[in-house]
Amino acid sequence: MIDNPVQWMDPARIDGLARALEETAAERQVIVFTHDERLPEAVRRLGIEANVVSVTRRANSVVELRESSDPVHGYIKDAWTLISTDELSDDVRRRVVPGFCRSAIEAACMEVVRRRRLERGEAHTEVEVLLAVPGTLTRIAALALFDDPGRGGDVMARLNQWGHWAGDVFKRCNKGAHDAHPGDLHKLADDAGSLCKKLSQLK
Amino acid sequence: MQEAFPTEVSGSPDDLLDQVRILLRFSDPSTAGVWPRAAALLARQALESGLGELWQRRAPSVEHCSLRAQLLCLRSYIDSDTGERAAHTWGVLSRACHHHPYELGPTAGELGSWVEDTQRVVDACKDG
Repeated sequence: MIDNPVQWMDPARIDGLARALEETAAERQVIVFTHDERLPEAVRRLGIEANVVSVTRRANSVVELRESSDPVHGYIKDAWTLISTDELSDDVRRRVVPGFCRSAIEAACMEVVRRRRLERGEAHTEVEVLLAVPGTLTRIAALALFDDPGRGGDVMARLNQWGHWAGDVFKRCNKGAHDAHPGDLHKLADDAGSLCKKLSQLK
Repeated sequence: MQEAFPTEVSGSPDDLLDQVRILLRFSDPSTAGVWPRAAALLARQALESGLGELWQRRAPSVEHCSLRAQLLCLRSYIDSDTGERAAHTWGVLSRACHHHPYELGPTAGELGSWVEDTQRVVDACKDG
């Protein structure tokens, strides 16, 4: 059992840690507690077999465990869960589902950028600094699509090359995070999932 | 007794904040794990909606400006305390709405205090 191994670790060594844990797990059960996504991210990127469980604590110390997949998949799944939760009012659903779809698109863009730059040999810290710069969804999309954060103006045209549904869902998720989405939520979540898939295929 | 979500929500800032309080207070299994982000999204919308109502009454052109510009204008239209509170709260709520792979999300306690800060801003906007 290992508690918070990544906290002070040089990001470049996290891949090495993931591999070391993989080796150990061949003979023993390995349980790691961490709040840092870098280790699960490395585990996924390196194709290491692992169960990831997320733990949230609510009011009155009620603890919730959920099986966790990659963040993109997680946000889309959450969006669908919210769509099918009858206990929520329609207005609340319309106000929160787009935000989850937006986070999925954001996470998908970040994954593309991270994978591309790490494969190119850039340092982990530099990639993280680049991704940590606060910015708009358009900026992170420009980084994913063009490897250039300054090309925000070209994002919509590039997305529309995949079909107008792509540019449309991007715009609606961006807007919808601030307002109740007036249209079909099923279509929004569906198209957001499709856009994330397209983004994940970018080299 | 489990409080149920109302079937009709007006979308007013007060209603949205009430929704968030329910999300935070009751462990409804249907919202397991999604409630922090859902709460942050609703609270941020309540804050933005409170600002919007103020601008509609006092300065309609400001409503179409960026949030950053609106938060700056708030200092002049209400007072600098409210402006600072609104800017800080909007910032932390926005952070909680976005994807940050390497950070812990907000706790229920943190979200609760941000909700009350949002309520103070919304109330100040109503009186402004």
